[in-house]
Amino acid sequence: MSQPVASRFSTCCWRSFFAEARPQRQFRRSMVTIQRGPVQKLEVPSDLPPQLLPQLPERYRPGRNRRDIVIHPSPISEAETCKDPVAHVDKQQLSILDPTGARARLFDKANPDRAKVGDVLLTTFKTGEPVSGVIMSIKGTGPHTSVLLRNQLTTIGMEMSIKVHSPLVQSMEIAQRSPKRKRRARLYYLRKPEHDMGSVQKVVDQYLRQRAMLTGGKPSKQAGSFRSRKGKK
Amino acid sequence: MIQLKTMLNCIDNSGAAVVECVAVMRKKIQHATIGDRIIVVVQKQRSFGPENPGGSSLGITNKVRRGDIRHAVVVRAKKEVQRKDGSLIRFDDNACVLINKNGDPIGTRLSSVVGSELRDKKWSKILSLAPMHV
Repeated sequence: MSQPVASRFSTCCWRSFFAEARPQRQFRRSMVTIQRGPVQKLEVPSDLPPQLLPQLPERYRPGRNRRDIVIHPSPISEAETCKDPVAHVDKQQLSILDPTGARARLFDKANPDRAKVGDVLLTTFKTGEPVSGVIMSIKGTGPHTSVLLRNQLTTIGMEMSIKVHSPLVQSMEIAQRSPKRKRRARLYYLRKPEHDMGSVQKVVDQYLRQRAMLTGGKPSKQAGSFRSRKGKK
Repeated sequence: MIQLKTMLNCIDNSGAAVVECVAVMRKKIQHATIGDRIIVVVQKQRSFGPENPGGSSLGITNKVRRGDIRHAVVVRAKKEVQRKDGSLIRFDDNACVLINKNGDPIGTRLSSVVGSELRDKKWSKILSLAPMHV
């Protein structure tokens, strides 16, 4: 008897036979998967006798929700009151470092008599030590301004970057202006041997002599620091 | 930034003209700068013959020879050094002064400028020999 049944249903037909039976499964859905609506919160009945109140969790007891929340006004934003704090700090610093404003004017872009690249600058430190050189570049703005000076000391090239508003700098004077306006903002080509200005000591010495003549005083001992220090020994 | 194989000028009268760095002493980073102690090999001797004829009579002979391994202190560096006040200093060449194991300079005079950082690193003997320092 079984023989003809097997011939009637091949293996692939068995699968389609069961596929028909499958849709019955959806009726066997579990309780968990049945979608429920949002849980409705029940209000605590208002006419609850007071002796039952201790049985309630604390958050459901009457009067609990009536706590008034204080809403503080938001503090005034610092960014609103001070739009550009960096400029403010810079100004403050400049008023401390450079109260007269003379140094700032020496490097002010609006000043036609400002120090420019190619000029010979004589800087004296508070310790009395002079440093002179050709200005190779002027970097930075405000209290961060710095100049790069190049000079030759005992035939060795030396470059020194000095913060213009450094409290250790006593004075900055232009010993010689460059005869022609330089067409570069940064004279890095001065490092090349064919463009090197060499030592500016002679220029500085001459400037100091002239200044002494004009002011009527004797030449200050800044002149020729190299020689004076050698003489001391 | 003086490291292995860097060639330095020797600015004292010990007899060395050009030396080569072979080691940087007591530093975790292998770059020496002004005031650091290094070990060098003398590559080129200075000839004292025609330049100062009086030197030979004073008995100034080359205290070091080519191929000698010596200690040295870097006194100038091409790489800029930042100072405490924010200023930078940079020289056009790398230069050193030969010293012995105790830290005393071998030469008796220096020919050119040295960096002031030597003062912070307690090389006062070299500073006193130098014609000037910046």
